[in-house]
Amino acid sequence: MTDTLVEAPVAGTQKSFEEGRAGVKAYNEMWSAPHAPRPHWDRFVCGMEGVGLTEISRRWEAAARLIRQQGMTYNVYGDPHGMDREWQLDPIPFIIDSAEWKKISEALIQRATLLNHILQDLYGPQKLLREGFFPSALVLGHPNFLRPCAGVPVAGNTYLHVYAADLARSPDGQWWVVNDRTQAPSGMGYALENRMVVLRMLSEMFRDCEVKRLHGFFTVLRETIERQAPHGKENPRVVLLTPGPYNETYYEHVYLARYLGYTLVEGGDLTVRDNRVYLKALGGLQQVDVILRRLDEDFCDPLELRSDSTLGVAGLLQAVAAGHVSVVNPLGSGLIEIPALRAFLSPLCRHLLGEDLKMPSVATWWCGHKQAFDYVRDHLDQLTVRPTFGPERSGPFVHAMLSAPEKAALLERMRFRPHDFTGHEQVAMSLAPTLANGKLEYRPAVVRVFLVARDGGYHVMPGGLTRVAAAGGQGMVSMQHGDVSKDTWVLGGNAAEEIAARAQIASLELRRGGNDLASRVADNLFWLGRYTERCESGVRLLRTVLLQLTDESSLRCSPALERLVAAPYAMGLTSVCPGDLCLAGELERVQADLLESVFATGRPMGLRETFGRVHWIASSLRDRISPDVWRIVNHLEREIFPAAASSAPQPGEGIVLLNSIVTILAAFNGMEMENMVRGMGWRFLDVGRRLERAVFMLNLLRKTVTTAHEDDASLLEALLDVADCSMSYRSRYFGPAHLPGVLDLLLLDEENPRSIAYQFAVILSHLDFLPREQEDHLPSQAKKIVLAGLANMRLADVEALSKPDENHFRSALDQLLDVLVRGLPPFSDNLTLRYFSHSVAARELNSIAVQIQS
Amino acid sequence: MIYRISHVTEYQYSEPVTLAHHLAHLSPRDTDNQIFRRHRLDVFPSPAVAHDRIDAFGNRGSVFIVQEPHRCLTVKANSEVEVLPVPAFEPLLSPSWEQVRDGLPEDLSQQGLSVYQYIFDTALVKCSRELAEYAASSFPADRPLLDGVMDLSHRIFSDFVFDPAATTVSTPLSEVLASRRGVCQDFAHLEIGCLRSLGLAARYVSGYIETEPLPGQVKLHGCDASHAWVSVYCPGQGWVDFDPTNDQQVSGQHITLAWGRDFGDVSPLRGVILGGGQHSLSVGVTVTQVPQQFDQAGNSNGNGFQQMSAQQQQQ
Repeated sequence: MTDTLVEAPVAGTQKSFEEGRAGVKAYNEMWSAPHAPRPHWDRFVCGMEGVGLTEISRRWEAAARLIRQQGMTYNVYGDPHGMDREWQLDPIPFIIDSAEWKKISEALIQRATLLNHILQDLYGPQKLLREGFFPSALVLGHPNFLRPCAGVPVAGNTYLHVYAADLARSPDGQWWVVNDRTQAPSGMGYALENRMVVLRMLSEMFRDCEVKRLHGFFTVLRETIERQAPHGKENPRVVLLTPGPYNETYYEHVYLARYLGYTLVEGGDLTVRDNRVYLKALGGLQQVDVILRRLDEDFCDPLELRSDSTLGVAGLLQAVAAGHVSVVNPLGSGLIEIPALRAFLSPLCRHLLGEDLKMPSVATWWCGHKQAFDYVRDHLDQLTVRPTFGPERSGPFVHAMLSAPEKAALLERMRFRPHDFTGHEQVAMSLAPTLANGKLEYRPAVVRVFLVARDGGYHVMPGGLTRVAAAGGQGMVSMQHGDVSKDTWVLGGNAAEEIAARAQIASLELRRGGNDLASRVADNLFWLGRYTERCESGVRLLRTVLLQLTDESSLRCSPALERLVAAPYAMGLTSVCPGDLCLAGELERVQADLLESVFATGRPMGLRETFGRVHWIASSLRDRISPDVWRIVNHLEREIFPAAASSAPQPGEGIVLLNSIVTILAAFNGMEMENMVRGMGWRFLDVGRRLERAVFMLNLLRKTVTTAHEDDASLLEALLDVADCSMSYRSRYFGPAHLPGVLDLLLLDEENPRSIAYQFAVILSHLDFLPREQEDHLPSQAKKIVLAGLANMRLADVEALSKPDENHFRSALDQLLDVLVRGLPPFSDNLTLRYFSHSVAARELNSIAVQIQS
Repeated sequence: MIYRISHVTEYQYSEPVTLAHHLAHLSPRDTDNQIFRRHRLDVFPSPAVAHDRIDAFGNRGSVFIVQEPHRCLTVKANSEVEVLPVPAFEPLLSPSWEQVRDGLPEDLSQQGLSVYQYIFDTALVKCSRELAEYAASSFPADRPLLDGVMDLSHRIFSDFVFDPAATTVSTPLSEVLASRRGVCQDFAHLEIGCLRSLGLAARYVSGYIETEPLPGQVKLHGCDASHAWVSVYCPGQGWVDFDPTNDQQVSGQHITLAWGRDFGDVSPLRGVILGGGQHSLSVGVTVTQVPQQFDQAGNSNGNGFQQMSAQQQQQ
């Protein structure tokens, strides 16, 4: 094993920069020479040799499971399979010693301070433009120079509360800044998650290396955010504004919101009234003091910025200008995220701070200047050219590896609008050890380091998010391209420091209740309840039908079996209308269709699709449901369903799958009943579940027992099985099942949690707790529907309901079921209107009054 | 000449709007040839919050929030300006267009920067080879800038058909250029795009033009309209306005509301609403001349006009 460890480092899997810089050998992070680890890697290499790569690989399979269970994901744009891509984490950390870290920290503090000064000027007096230190085109021509924000004071005159820099190390060992992230840097949540996983999997090495802890950074972060509250308000309400589940780093938004204790909101959850920002909550509007944004600034206010944005909050800019809310980082701070900035940073540093820039930026040429343009044109093969203002992902990363016609076209575009292009050097990034197929490989690495403003200076996270290129990558490191992340270890941690940091945690104001539940979240919880129950009842019905169809003792074509088989079709669960089962091949056809609806994907009412909705809603509720609940949902979607996939499933396989789904959903329900705080969120979830169960049972009874047949008993047994009530029935009655007993149990018995009356009674009790139901003196329309239904059931006579007329039709039963089932859609609508209506999206109006006589 | 302008915008909604944020650019501004006299903005139902402010281009804007549910929103702007005669200029005496183009990035003064911002791409005006090619025949080497711009305006007027059905606010310039149809807003954007594609500074001007009734007819109320034209920067002259829709230099009949990089900066009234269902919009503009003496008499009687700033400060 140790042989593989001391193998001389391979020259790197990245050919591109080897070619680009012939003769220059990339810096190897781990080894100074073959068999000689760099001093700060000593302990780790020693520990790694002790444990062995085979053992680490084994542990990493467990780590992958852990990551899957946590649901750590990353969304990749433009890839149909890119939603919820599993987070890639390499076991070998990126290690930096404490002396080197100190230098890096000082350099980045200087850089953050400098960038903050630059932003202050660009959104203020713009002296830098007039004095020629910064090209005016980069500001005036920047699509995201937010003119409405110019001159608007920001809290503490700080534009950069949070800053991140991407660093790479060149062959001579020097660190370079390759990217600045000034708007809403992503990755600190992933860095923390990486740490949690690595710490749990390489605990002995982590301890031996004395790694600095990350926790303190987040304490500072929280303090800094909360200090931005207008008028120095204590215990301010902070929200984390996310673009939503489609965003590439949505998982991180959920994670950070939970870790920092902030409400996760989308633009539609907020509203501006009286120049104040409010959270639209169930209990009314709740004022928001600080917005930690992960939404690009141009999308933040459709009134004043991009009018096509549906993700923002109309009037936010005015609320900020009025001083009623703070945004972190302030709107406008993305202005200097452009690569072209780097070309001017050195002189700016001397001018503004009176000192030299401590860490150089990767060499960059902004083509708006004639000499720079000429240089880029003449060295196109060695450089990367990018649109000056384009967001990174809109690309194109215009690469040096272009065909001759592409190159000519690029030059043509560059000549037409030179200021729209920026060229920069390709860094020969250092190589970091990565575990691949049981061996170490060395791949180019970029380290993202995070800073947070504090007391006029900056505090650096002792660690960061390291990313290495995927094997065969294009010399570009980006999680969008399927690269792998690493934990970053800064050595020299000690216990005293940690204790000091921990002592600073601020006191907490006790809170109870849940009226700050956003209306959108309540809406989603309601539907989570409905879809999980729809899933469960569908599964139970399909399972019973499948068992009956394939039961050795049952008759092939009894009328009872026919009615039972017809039920899933009538309820939309299957797509083939069963005919006469006595006909040859009919039974097989029905059975095949049944299995199809269990296994197939892409059928609108199929099991997979319904469960897909459960998974989707749960993923947008990640900050509201417990990790355990999420694990259950994720397990079903990611493991049970894929594992059960089969091209020609047998009934037995279907039964196995349905059995395990029943068990898993039971776990979900158990979590809900035992672990959820009885707040508004839980009540809406439960109302959704009860409503769906009532709808299902009402439809099932209507399709099966409103007409009388001689062999009702076997049908009734099956119904008891669907409702999981066979045992209860047996404990009350002997002999074959008879309708009055079954109806009493499934319809009227308020003690039976599967009965329809029980669902109505529980919904009624929830309604009494809902915010507006308490304030109003008269019952709402929704409540009246439930009250009426319950009264109808309480007054019903089970013997009369069971009695068929001369046409074998049970008209009293049919009428009762009909009245009950018809009340439920208006009930749901009424509830939606009352509680979820302010989750409707805002839209844009633009008066176009342009007619003119010529 | 003194003008009084009434600009009434009315939105009708099929369902109640529960919250509406609006941003209006309906107040005239001061220009070299125009003196702002008064302006009043009335909104029904009345807004919970209303603010006046000067934007980054020096325009007067108003932001207001209507918080009570409404099915109809009426915004009435009444303004009065004095328009001075536009001084004549001699196009052939202006500097060559290349000289102007090359000088723009060099001027780092406050004024220079405020001009330079008008050469860049915006959401509605993107420079392109096609636009540069269309403009090229008006700008042979060494042609005096304003002479070239006059020629370009004239060509747009003759090459393009005024057709309100052809475009919407989101029709891209490339389509306008291909179809040769549009309205004043499209022609203004087109000319701006042409000039910027050559590296010149051009801005979008939103305003009104006074129309005269046909001989023997009485002028009808509400028959005027919003208008848009172009302004180009010429050192020594400052900003010079051209109206490609009417093939004329901007005369004493043009009233300026606001200017910006494109329509998006100065849209007369935009909004973001919650609810509303289907909506319909009607706009009525009336521009009338005010005889000097009558105006003074009316003024002393205090005939209903008040400075909006006094009216709508933070209610």
